[in-house]
Order: sequence, then structure tokens, then C-alpha cells
Amino acid sequence: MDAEGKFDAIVVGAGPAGTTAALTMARGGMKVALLERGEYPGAKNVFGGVLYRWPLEEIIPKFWETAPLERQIVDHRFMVMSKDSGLLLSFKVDGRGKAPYNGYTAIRAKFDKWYASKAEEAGVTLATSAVVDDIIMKDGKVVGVRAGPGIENELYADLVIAADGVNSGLAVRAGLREPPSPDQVALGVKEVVELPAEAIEARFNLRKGEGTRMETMGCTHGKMGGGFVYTNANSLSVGVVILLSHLMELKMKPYELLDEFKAHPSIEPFIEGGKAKEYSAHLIPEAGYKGVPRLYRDGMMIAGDAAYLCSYPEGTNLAMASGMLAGKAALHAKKNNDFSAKTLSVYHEMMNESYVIKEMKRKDSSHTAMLNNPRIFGLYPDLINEILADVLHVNGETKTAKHKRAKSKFRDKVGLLRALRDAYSTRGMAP
Amino acid sequence: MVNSVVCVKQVPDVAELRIDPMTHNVIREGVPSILNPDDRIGIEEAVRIKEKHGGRITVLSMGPPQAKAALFECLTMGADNAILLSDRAFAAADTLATAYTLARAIKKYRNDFDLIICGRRAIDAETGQTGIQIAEQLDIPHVAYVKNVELFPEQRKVVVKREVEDHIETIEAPLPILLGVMEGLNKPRLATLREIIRSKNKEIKVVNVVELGGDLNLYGLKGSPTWVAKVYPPPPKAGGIIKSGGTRETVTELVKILVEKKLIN
Amino acid sequence: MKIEERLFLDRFNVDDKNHLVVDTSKCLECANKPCTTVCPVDDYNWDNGKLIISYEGCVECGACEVVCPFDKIKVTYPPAGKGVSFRFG
Repeated sequence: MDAEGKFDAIVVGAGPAGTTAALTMARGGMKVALLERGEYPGAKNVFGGVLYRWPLEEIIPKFWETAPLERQIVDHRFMVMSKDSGLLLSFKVDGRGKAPYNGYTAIRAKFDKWYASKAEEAGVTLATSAVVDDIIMKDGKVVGVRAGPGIENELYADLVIAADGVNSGLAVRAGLREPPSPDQVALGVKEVVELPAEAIEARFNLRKGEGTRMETMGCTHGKMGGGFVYTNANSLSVGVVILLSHLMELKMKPYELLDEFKAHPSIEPFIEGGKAKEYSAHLIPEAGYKGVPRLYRDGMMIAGDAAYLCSYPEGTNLAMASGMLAGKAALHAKKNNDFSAKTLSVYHEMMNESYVIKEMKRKDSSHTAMLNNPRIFGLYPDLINEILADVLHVNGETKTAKHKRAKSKFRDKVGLLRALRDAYSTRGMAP
Repeated sequence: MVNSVVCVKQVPDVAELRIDPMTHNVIREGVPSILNPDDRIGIEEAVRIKEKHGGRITVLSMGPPQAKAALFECLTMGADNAILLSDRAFAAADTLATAYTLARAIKKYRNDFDLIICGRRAIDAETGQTGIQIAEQLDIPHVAYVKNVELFPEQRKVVVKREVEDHIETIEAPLPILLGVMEGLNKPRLATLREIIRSKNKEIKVVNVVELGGDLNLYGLKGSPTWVAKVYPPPPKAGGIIKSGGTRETVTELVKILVEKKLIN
Repeated sequence: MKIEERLFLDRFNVDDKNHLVVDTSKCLECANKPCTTVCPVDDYNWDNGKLIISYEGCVECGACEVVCPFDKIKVTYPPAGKGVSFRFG
């Protein structure tokens, strides 16, 4: 910071997007302030979650050797639930001696702190308990940020990167996007449930240090959403996510959904005897590709959740990828000593060529289809479970008769054509 | 110019302390640490004095390396530099040994002080003795329970108001002096963005026992003539009496009970 | 689990000022009062024809602001060091 309170760049928000952007710029020789409103990075952050190796590995090679990670993910599970049964699919890889792994569970309060410390090592000035509430404009250009009254709370820079999360007040103030509407965000509620490592490994059929990520559907009363269980070292992250507009229709308390999920016969045995350690809630961008706002303007870029760059089941890695590209665009602008929208448009171009936007584009039509199709999250999970329960139940009735009943149920409730259409419309959700 | 030393302590956030329902022990694990609230008032007062009269503010603390976080917070509020006395030899000190350690550091590093400010008491042990003992060790006057401070640097004096039981005393005293400050003296400020960033370049000097010197028998456990025999939570209150019904009946019953218990007549 | 028990798990440093800025002038016209159902910590309660707001247990998710059909809720940030601090997240 010089005497006038100026940096080359100010990044607001020390989450995955902001820290990555700050780190990238600092490595390129820029003087960067990273401002975090929490007491420490991660204090206000919540995620599911799995941290994928890409693109973090590009930013911090061999991060898995030093980062505070919980478990390496070797087991991907998906459960289709009805009220009292569940069909579980598990894809498990041989994790023996296979480090580095594709993904790791993490505790945000620990990981974000560590990650921001890496940015500090690279020369970033990290300020915590720094509550930025506005941008400073001059001649139509973003020139700084404000954290309260008076000049002492103003900070100036050639460039501001807003990575202030899904509710991004700064992106809204900069006119880059509107505040979210209820069908652009989902509400996630989560509990961290403490369990001994041995119990977790036994319950999920894991070796020491290995982990499971489990996603479920059919636990949101037909509304768009689902549940999840992630294994941490000594705890499970258990939660339910539901599209906010659907939650409004449902008129249930979000924690009632969580209670139902935790009590489900297919979930309860995993968490039994565990001790709740934390309860949290967070909004998750569900705006799809169509919702991605303009990413830049004169003197400013946005990254991560602030730009709705989140697409189930990925978010943290998309945030990091966008932060990295924003950082690169900033270095390009610094080199040309021009932070105008025209120069910063390189961010937009790089994003369009990136995995982030390509993935979001691929999923976009499915996203819309799921949003408007009540069958996906209610009828299908229920029907699958109902048919399986009937077919697997041995009671002297011939399987031929049961198969016939299953077929007619399927025909009456959905129909082949509609099922095919639904499957096609949601093809983008294919992993 | 008024040079101040503010003594602060990093304490567990007592609001976060839980009692284990089975063992009745205090659960300390996972309890976050904070800057002791009365000490924050001390920093604020020092910064206000500095803004008015100029001078330099040094924050001083004794504690583990993590206590740097509390010192940093003091710097963001406007203190100039910080000293952390951190050594295993200082550990398990009672108030006497703590006062010896802090007083020695003040003599060694800030003997030019005009004013020492301490919080009235720390919320973890609530002894309220350390500040007074520092003053005794440095052989300077002290006033505790201070709720108002007015400094007259030219006349080398201070006029303070202190709260005692049922009245307020106004005391005029010479500098240098130690003041024990308490809630109500001021409302601590929020750090400004620029001061947070400037504080990144302020010094937090960590001092160990070798550097501090002095009599090794007066530090830590060895230098502590008092010790805590046992910590236990207060016995849980017996369930109260809850009466339901109309206002008239319940009030009548309440009066009856109070008369029976001879609490009113 | 009751919401009070859940909130007991979290670390709050409660500010003396309410950071949930609510203009209740439209609440009587509001049919569904979605803030009272979506809030994951029950900070909004409709009681005797009045909206009762308790910001102390706010986990700062921002859902209330998004769902208010009259745009009358503004979730500001609690000042430095205040509000919820997640230890896990």
C-alpha cells in the first residue's frame, strides 16, 4: 500500500476464487491486497465438499503434501431415495498407493486459511476482519473499495476483483448482475457430525485415509435438490440442498428436510452415535450458464460464486479456475498498463475457452429441464424404489407377474416416450 | 507526548465454554481465543490519548505464540508496536509471577512510559490483580476501576474517575501511573481498512526468558506462590416453580410463597 | 434437533446492532411470508400480526433477502469479527 492507500489490485473475498486470483497476480509481480470479512479466511464459507486436484495442482504443485485435507476420495456414491428405501450406486477405485488422488474432502475453515497463507507467502497482503461494503467509482471506472466511513476505510487500486461470494454485493453494485432470484440459487443446510475415524472407515467400507462422497436424490419432496454425505477425517458433512424457489413452495423449514434426511433408513446408520459439531447454511449458485453475468467492466472483474460460476456437483474448482484466469487477465492488463474493459475482456475470452464455461454450457439445457420437471426429483426416485421393492419382495407371486406390474406402473405413471425425453433432456447431468 | 504501555491478555472466549454434562469439567477444546474485553477498552483509551497528546503505544502480553493474534488486533486499533513474552518458563504463572514478567519487560523495553493501562480483569480467571502488582513492582501509583481519564501531560498529572460500590471517586494523581480500566470508559473502535493493512508492517517482537533475563525463580510456576486447587462449575440451580393460570390466581400464589419464604411481609 | 440446539453448536460474536435491515411496511400484504419458512435458523417469526426478527443466530446465508417478494430485506455484513464464524464450514 502506498501513502495514498493504493495497490495494483484489490481482491475482495479470501475464498477459493479470490485467493487464487490474488496468488496469481502476486506471482506475476503485482502488489495485491486480499480482503476477507471473516475473522480468518473460511470463517464465513461453507461447502459440501470435495476439492478436486484440478486446477489446484496447477496453482500449488503437490498441494496434497502440505494442505490440510481430510480424506482422499476413492468412492463416489449416488443414491436414489424414496421415503423409506434407497438404491445405492457406488463407483470405487483402488486407492492403494495411488497418490495423488483426484479429489479430497476438506474443512473450509482449515483449508481456506492455509490457502490464503500461500498467497501471503507469494507477497499478497491479506487483511482479515476487513468488511468491504462498497466499490469506489470515478469517471465510470471502478477505482477502489470502501469498508466503512472515512478515507481511512478506503483503498484504491487499478483493478478490483470481486470474489465476495454468491450474494456478491459488489458485483451488484458494479451493475454486473442483479441480486439472485429464488430460482437462481439453492439453499444448502449442513451439519458436521463427529465420528471416530475407524467408525467412518467401517461404515463406508474404506481403508485408512480413504473417503466417500455420496450424493442423493429423492429426499426433497419432489423439489429440485438432493442430499449429501461427505467423509472427513473425524467427521461427516451431512446436508440437504434445495432450490430456493422450490423451498418456498414446499413451505418446510430447511432443517426439517435435513432432519428427515438424517433419519432416513439408508442414511441414519452412517451417522448413528455421531455428535453434531456445527450447523451451517449457505446459498449455492444454480443459475446455470444462462445466469453467468458479464464478468468484467472498467477496473473490475468478478470470479467464483460472485459470478455464479458453480455447477453441481462442482464449485470450488470452478471458482479456482476462474480466479486463476482473472489473475492472468490482470497480469495482461498490468503489462499493458491498461485496466479498461477492453483489455480485461481477455478474461471473458479465456473463460469461454475454459473447462468452466464449457462445462456450464454443456449442462445448461439439463439445468433448465430439471428446474421445470417435477418428475425428476419425485416421481422417478419413488417409482424406481417402488418397483424394486415389489420385484425384490419374495412372496410366492411369480416374477413374471411382478415384472408385468412394474411395466404397467411405469407406463401409467410415465410412459416410455416421456421417460426417454426426460432422460435426453437431462443428459447434461451425466457425470 | 504521552507514551503508553497497554498490557493485554488473550483469553478463551468464555461465551464458547461448555460444561461436559457427564464429567462436569470445562471443555476447553476448540474454544476460540479472543482479546480480553477490558484490555480492548485499555487499547482504545491509549489510542484516544495518543490522538490527543501524541506519543507512542506499546502493547505487551505474555502468552503462547498464538497470542500474536490478539496483539495484532491491538495494532489494527492504532497501537504502534507489540511485545509478546513467550517462553515455557513463563507458563503456569499466577498473578504475582505474571506481574513480575510484565514489569520486567516494561523496565527493559519501555522505561520511558508515562502511562500503563491494564484491563480491570481478564474474563478467564477474573482475579483483577495483575495490573496492581505490576504497579507495585515498578513502584508507581495505580488507580483501578477507572471509568474516566483526563490527562494533563504538561502538568505531568492525570485526573481519573473511578467507580466504587455506590459512588464515584475523582482522583488526581501524578504521572507515571498505572490505570486499571473497565467497561463504560469508552466504546472500542473498529479497525479501519488502512490501519489493518499498515499493521501488517508493525513489529510484534517475541521475547523469551533468556532475552528478558531476571531471576528464573520468579517466573512461571516456580515464581507462583498461589495455585488453583480445583476448577468446578457452580452447582446447577434447582428447577424453579412455574405456576400457570390467570393473573389474579398466580399473583396471589406468588405473594403467598414469598410471604412463606419470608422474602416479603 | 431443535434449532436452539443447533445454534448452540456454532460460534457467534453477536454485534449489538441488527445487520438484517428489514422494512416491515409490506409484511401485512405479504401472503406467504417466505422469510419465515426459508430461514434456516428461524430468525423470522410472524407473531400476532408482526414480524419478529432475531438476528443473533443468523448464519449469514442471505436467503431471506432473496425470497422477500417486496425486496424489503437487506442483509448487511456484521462489522469486523462479528456474526457467525464457522470452525468447519
